[in-house]
Amino acid sequence: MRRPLSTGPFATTVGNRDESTVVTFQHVTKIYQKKNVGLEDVSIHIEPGEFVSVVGQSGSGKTTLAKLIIAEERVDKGRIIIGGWDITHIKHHEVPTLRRQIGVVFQDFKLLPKKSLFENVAFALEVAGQSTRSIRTVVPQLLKIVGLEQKIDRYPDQVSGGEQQRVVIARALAHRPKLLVADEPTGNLDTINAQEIISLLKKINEFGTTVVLVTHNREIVNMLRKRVITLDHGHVIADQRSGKYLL
Amino acid sequence: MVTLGRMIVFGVQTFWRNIWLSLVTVLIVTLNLFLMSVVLGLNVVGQQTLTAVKERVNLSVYFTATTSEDRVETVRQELLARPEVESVDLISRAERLELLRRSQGQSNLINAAIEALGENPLGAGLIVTAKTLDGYNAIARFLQSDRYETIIEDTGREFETNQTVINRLTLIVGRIQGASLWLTLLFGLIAVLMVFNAIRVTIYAHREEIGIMKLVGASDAFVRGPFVVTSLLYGLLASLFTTIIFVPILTITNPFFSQFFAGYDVNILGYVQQHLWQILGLEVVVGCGLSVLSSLFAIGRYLRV
Repeated sequence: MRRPLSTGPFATTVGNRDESTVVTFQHVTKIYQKKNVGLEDVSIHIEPGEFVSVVGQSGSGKTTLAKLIIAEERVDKGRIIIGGWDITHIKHHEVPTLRRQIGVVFQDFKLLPKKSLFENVAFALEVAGQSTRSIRTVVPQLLKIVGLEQKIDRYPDQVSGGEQQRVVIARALAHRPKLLVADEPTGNLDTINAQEIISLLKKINEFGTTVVLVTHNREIVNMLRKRVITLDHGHVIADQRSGKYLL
Repeated sequence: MVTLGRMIVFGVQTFWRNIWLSLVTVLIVTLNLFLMSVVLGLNVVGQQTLTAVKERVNLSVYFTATTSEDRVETVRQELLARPEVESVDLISRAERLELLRRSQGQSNLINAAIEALGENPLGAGLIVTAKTLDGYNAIARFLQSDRYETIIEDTGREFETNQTVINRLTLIVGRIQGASLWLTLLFGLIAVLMVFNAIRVTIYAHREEIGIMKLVGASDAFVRGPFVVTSLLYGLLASLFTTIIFVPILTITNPFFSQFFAGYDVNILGYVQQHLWQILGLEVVVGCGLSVLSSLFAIGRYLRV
């Protein structure tokens, strides 16, 4: 069941919601078992159209932050507001609605090997109940955006790692999200492919989509010259408007 | 509708992509459904036999030769007024004599004896049929009362013999029913476990796809639906196969049953042919019901959405 746009994230009707930010973390704390700190008292505001890199060493809480945004994890303290929707205590059945409005890109691609590139992108629209006609129109457009219009019938194992990640980005864009969360999207790629993916993310950002890039790739962060939030042991230790990789 | 259609397509794809697992599951569910059908069939046969035997039971009342027809008719009306009585048929004195002659094969000895007596020595008779088997005892007690002692020759002896046979048959049929209930439950449980395991393996094989479905915003129903569709296919195919193999096997074995139940109104093949659609419907309901039930258990246990 698709949540009505007026009550979902990035709602067009404002009401009493804070529409000036896409992502708001208010004193968010997430503690895993055995008192393992994911995030502790983290407050972040990400505005529409921003390109934000979240950096930090392994275990700093980067992936926890990404998982909290897509409601894969729940907070222990604090509040999370995504596009005006307080998802702190989001109900289980509301999670699909949230995820259909946030594009997600992961390091390990998460493509279905037995489906073609077209089918992989179409899959995101199929599960959301889009019509077949609409899928046939939208998917080639998405694959064209990521430069794979010539390879729509190929299977994931027939294209390079960089191309696979581009398919994932195309899939993430399928629902025309206002927010794209990319968790280590270049982690499995060589330098050239990594640069291409970052260029693609920049291009998407230029079209108005807010991008949250979780990475520990120093070169990429320094090259971007965009906002950088640095995490360390679950705490925000730096938030620079046009920053560099600090650690 | 689009979502439902896609759930069905994904369910069929899941069935097809795991074709060997699907075939083995369908085969074993078919086997169990078949055994359940055989057990339930035996139950039906037992019931039919019991009904056929019960239908043959009646209570014969014979009056003395001196009892007038009016008196016999009065007793008949009194019997018909009793709540346990279904029907009372009158056998006249002449009819009784004719029956006796026929039963003795027009014996010369009988004819000679009757001629010597100079008149029909037999009284009229009544054939009493009760609504239930239990009713015969009450009717017999009613006819053994003092007011009928002088006019009724013999009552209930034949019924008592039948009663013993029926009691034994009822006991056997009851035991068959009890055993068939347990066997049906056992075969049903095996079918449930088979589908449960098949769905569990399928969920494991599709864990990556399930994870991606959830990531891209598939609803719980959309993630779970295809597995329910797959299990429905198991049940549907198994019930169809069961019905398809059940009828020819019954056709082949029917002469044996006909011979066994000679003289009784028990026709198993006829019963199946007459109720084929109901039997198929029952197979589908049971097969699909068990499959869906077990898939829901497996989904609840192994598919965290």
